[in-house]
Amino acid sequence: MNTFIHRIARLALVLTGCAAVNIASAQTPLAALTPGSLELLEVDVPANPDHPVRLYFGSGQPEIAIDVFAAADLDAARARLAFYLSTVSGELPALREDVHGDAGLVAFATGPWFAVVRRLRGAGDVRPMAHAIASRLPRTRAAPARATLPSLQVGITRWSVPEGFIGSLVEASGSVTARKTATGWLFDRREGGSYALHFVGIDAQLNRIETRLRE
Amino acid sequence: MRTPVVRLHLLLGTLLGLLGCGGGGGGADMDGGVDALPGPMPVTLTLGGSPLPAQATIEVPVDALAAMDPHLDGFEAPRFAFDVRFAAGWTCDITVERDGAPVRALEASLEATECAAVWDGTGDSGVLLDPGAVELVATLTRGTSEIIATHPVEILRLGLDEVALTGPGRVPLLYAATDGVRGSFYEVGESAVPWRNVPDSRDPAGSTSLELADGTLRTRPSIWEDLTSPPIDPSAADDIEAETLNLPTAWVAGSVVDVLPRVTTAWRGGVADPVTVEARIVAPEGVTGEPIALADGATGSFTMTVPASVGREDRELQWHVEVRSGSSEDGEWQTIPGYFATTHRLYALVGRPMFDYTSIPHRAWVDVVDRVIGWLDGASASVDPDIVASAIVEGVFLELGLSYDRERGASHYAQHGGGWTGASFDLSRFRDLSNGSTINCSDAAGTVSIYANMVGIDLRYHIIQHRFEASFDLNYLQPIGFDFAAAPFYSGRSAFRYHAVTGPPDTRIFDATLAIDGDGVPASPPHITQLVQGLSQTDYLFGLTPEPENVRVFVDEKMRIR
Repeated sequence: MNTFIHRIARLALVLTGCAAVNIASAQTPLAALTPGSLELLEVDVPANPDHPVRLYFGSGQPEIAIDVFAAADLDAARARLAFYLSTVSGELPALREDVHGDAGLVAFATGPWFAVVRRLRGAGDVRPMAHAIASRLPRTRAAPARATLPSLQVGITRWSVPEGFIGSLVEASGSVTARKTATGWLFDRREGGSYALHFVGIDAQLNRIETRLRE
Repeated sequence: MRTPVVRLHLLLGTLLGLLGCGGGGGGADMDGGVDALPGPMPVTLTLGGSPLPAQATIEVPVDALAAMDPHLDGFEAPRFAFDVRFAAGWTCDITVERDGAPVRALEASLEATECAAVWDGTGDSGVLLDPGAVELVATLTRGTSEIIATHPVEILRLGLDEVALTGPGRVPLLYAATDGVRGSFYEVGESAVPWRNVPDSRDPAGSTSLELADGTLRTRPSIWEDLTSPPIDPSAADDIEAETLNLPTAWVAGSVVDVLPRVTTAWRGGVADPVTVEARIVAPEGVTGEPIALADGATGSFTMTVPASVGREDRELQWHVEVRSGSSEDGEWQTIPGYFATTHRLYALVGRPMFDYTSIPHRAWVDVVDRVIGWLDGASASVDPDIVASAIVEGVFLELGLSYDRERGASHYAQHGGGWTGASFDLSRFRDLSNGSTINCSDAAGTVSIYANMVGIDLRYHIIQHRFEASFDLNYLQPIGFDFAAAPFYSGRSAFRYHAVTGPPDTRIFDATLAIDGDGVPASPPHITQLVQGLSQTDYLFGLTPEPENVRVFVDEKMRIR
């Protein structure tokens, strides 16, 4: 387990470019969602807070995608599951209470979580994987990580996402453009006018943290 | 009437010969060694019964080329011809001199009326001469007699180091994976200069826009073909190449483009602005505007028009140069050989992108624009949004290798939140089908509508559901990637819980998820594939379901890109 935890921790560091910190543990939702020996490759952070976060796991290339949404409680998670089922044009058979799916895709609600586990490539039934994930997901989450956006001078500013985050999205407006890089974000303030930044980060607890800066 | 004129002309020449003159004006020269009474005479006329000798003459034609830049594209070495008369028995040489010293002996040919040589601008070493003035010295020789004519020529060094393309019809373009990083969006804005060729920090000191420090010509940037990333410069503060680039631009079809070139005459020896001639850069073919006086840093303002139909054009502008010198008769401008070519990729779109969101990445993506225009394949001679949207449907349905999720009909790129509105689409991953090639209706509708939105077509995302039940029944359909089937699902289920489509505000339907049976009897074989390209809602629902009266079409919004 230690090896597994350390791998997740190292991965998180790569993803966020932050200083050494063990952000994943057996208790974190991220650790719970990580299937078997696969690594977290990418985190797709939605701009719409009503949308799930999508995590991509694999070895080299994504094999498993997991949409996960932290609802207020189980009832809310069940409502999300019910709506999700209506967005499947065909059928997603019920496997048991709050779990629907087949060998390639499973959607479930557990605790405050609504999740969809799907196989993108490779072989293997995702139902056992989804079951294991559902059983591991904690019913509560720790406090969210914090993010403070940098005050930007005219010119280029490179910004590493603060430690604790596994994925991020930044929207910029005004005199600043924001561009994701391999290690963080690059801000280009081309003139001295006003600007606004909107940061959305996902931490290992799968908290969604939004921070805004307007100058 | 012609004969007397000739006779008079020759007579004057003869008289001048008798007076010891080398020939009239026009740059002709004579030194002290001129043979005053050369013989045998090339032409002998009889005037008043006495034979008179004709003196050889050589002079520079009034239209002789006054300047050239051998580095220009398409440069062909010009032929310098001196007018001669009465030169039978004489020999002719032409040399190029700079500051009074010969730098190149040319192979001259002497014919009845001219002494001529071709010169490519090189010295005796075979290397092109540096910019500046030279003289072409033509010498007629017979024995110890010489008649000399000189012609000044200025070697120019010119080009453009920037071409801005602006105008209200320009549409920003977006690269979606800068340096290969998915989701690293880089916008090329409406005012961004798309063509530039200036030194950057990696060049050796002394390099200029036209050449490197060792005299090697600076390569002009070819059109940037990468559709997902701008050129990268690791030494740039923002990682993006800004000094040598030739990026495509997008325009509303038929737009007028302001073409703003900047002139450079900078070479490794300094600035080579014209000294002995006036020079100007004139509008290329298809471009209008006043010429730019040739001077380092000068800018011009021209206009051209983007194609009036949706498409992609790589347009080469050939910037020609005209010169005139003080000796040019009537100040006539003459075009020097060659031109400076710049090539520009222009995408012509139906209109400006139409999104419900203003944030990046809601822009026209370069790869999407290029793909959509490729699907038109020149077939569209208009900006009719129906034609373009139909091409998008056909392209998505037939060209992308997509297939319907017949296991369950789940989305793989589209996402909904807790309701039908506010759907989003992961276009970044769809670009390379990194979530696979299996899709459902929301994925297809997202693709069609976002592609259309990017090229300026107002297609919205709609949902179709049964008004009262959990699902509605289906006719025979042809799911994307498959043949017609009684049921789109392997389970045999022939019903949709929902179906997503797109359409313009007039309620017509575009759908790339499936084709309907177009034979008028959709509930049974045989089948005729009918792509859903602007069908009326009534016709579409008739083909889709045997219970069209029980379904409703709702949600009318554009998808959000994620």
